[in-house]
Amino acid sequence: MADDVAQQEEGLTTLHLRTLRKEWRVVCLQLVASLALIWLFLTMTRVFGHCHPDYVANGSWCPALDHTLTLDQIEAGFADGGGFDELPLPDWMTGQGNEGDGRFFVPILLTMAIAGAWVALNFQAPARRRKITLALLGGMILFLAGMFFLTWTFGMILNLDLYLPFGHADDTMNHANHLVWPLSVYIQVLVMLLFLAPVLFGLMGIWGLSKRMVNWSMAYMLIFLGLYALLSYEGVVSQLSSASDPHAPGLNPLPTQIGEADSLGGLISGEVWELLLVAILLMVYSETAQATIRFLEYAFRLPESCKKDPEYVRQFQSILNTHMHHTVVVIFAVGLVTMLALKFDDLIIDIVGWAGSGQWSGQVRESLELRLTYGKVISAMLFITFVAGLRYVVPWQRVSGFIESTLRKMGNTNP
Amino acid sequence: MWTRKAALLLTSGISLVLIGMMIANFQLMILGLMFIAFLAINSWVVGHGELEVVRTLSADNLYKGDDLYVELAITNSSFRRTQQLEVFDNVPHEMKLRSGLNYMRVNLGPGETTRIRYVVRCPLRGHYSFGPVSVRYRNTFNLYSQEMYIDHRSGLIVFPQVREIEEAMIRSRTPKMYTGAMTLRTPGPGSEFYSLREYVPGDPFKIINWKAFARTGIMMVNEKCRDAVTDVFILLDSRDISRIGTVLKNPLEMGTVAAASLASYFIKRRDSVALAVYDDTLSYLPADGGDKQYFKVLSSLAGVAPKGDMPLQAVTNSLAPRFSRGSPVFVISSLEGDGTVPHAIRDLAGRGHEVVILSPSSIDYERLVSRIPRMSYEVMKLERQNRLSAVAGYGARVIDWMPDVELSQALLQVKM
Repeated sequence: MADDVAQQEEGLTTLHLRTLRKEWRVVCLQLVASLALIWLFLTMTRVFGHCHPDYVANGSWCPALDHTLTLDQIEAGFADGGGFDELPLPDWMTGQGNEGDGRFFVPILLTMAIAGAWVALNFQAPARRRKITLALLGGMILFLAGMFFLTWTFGMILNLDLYLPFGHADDTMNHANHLVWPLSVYIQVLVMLLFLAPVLFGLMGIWGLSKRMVNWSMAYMLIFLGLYALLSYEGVVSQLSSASDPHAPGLNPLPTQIGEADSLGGLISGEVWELLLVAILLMVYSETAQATIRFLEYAFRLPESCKKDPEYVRQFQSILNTHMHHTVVVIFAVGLVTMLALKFDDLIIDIVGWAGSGQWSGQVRESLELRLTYGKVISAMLFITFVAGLRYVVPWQRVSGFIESTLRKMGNTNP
Repeated sequence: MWTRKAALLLTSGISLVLIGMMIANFQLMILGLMFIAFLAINSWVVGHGELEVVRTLSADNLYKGDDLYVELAITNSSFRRTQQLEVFDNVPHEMKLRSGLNYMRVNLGPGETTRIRYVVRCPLRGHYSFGPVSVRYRNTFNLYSQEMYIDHRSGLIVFPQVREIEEAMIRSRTPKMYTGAMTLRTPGPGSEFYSLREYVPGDPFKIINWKAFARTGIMMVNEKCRDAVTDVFILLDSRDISRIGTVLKNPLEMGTVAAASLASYFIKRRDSVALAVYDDTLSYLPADGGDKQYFKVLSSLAGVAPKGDMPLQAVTNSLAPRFSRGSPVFVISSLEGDGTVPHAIRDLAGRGHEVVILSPSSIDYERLVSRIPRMSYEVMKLERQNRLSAVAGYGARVIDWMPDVELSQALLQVKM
């Protein structure tokens, strides 16, 4: 039916990318994703950043998630080769010589600075971006080979002779030596960035709104977890090891048995809590980062008139609010359910114990009491299936909706 | 329905649990369990599409090229949140979005309402329907989604454009040739005197000619001439051949514009207009005047589509009993592919009708979409000229209407 149709309105708040980047909800989501990423990386370094105790005692290298091991190895290589004793970048910058999380604080700060610079560069106009990129590349090349070319050229001019920059008895004519110091700086930076790549890519993705970067970061961490699991698996270790090196490749294996539940009020054991934390943080990071990018992409693609329409703005904010609520509630629930699921075997054992002391109950108890994975995981899966089925019993969405609508009505009646 | 992400999470979760069990690695097992728990918990949070939708259009009918304002009010009629809801209002694909968007992502609380407002331009005439409303709801983490339609539709008629032709008619070489007084010498309501006749019971007293009564002693009444109203007949060719050209510029589109403009012109002059559209069948709208008839004519023209191959003579033969004596007949046709045109025109002219043929040049419309060799074009053009001249020879006024010529300009070039 034909009627008067109001035109789109224009509000003060808009959905322009420039505005949204300062919107507290968006910034909050980005901060949550960034913090989850950094916390995840630090947790991973606590769990997967150590070599086998024998390797630690020997000071040997292993492919653990710790860049200082590799840097120490390179430094030792340089020292053995008769070069300089220490790598050019100071230890406080690389984290060498530190213990625990202290190894990663400054490298993470550097990574944040690089990611920030990259994001800022992407905000520039294409022409300016190209100029800055060229200048950076030029600077890096100059830093690497500037001194070498300068001294070599002057050397040839002063000696009035063409000669190669290496292999001379007179060390002043071996200009190629000037390449070693900047090259070792680059190697140090590269090693650090290689280990901190998930943080770097993740931060670039979160703040530069690049899904691809976030996916790379996720893939890196998942692949690392897989490789670590494989390389610390007894079957693989036995193949790689030898009589002289019985623990090759030297990774510290995770415990195969869950210890006593001593954390979070006896809900979970300390070892498992760290593993669970890795999974929770991985989920928080992945979901929050992807959602932020998805929401901003949607806002970006809206036509100009819709970006200014208060209705679109209101709904966009509503979506962000709900996402934040759900991130907190759902992830908390997921963590809790997983912890309860891992404890569910105890409950079954108790129930079987109450059922009596027959042969059947004894067999069930024995099989479940295998703290070594199988019984625990199968009972955990049972519990999760039970939780999934609860949705058909508990109408919690209806209840929460009823509460929300009642609150709204009360809000409307208030003067 | 599970999304690809959910399926991937489930398979990854199960795989990780199994691999973790195989190699006794708790990290993989816990990660797998976590994925599955994430799916389980999220299955509690599902959206829904229990919505009330009301669409309001700024007009039920409008002219081709006009803008239409649309407002879609969506209300969550449930006690649950909708979760992430994508609402897409299906707009006829012929229409173009001018402003706003017919799509919105919302998250409506219980009883909450939101409005999508947008403007579309209607570049093509026709009968259109907005809707249904497509809805896709999913949970926050995009694990489960469901698509559905809300069958809410709104009808719209886009009339052909109406061009101003009054000046053209005044400046034509036959000024006022279509007013009834010139051709329809029949008694009826009017102002001019027609004749005296004897009084019959039921005649109003005010038309009694008292002088004649005094002179003759017989009650006589004045009869008036039907001078203000003419029955104008418009015959529109909507055969399949009239689709030649582009979507926006073809003989049929131009023909509908001409028919609408002529109808508007004559109805404004308080004449009666009849419309006959012939394609595979003949649809006829009897002569009438007023706004209602104008709306009927425009509605009829809005729904015209090229099809069929009915000859003009079949039309004129079928309508012959309905044609008012001496009334003007407009034939809007490209005159292509119909060998009966000369005979039909001859019959009409022979019955005393003033026949005007407005003929969009189909060859020139064809040139808009395909390249015609110059020689072929010249030959076809010559054939067309001969055809038009032959028809003019039967007493019709023929207008060769080129694609880039305005209707008012075309009406000035009547060929005798």
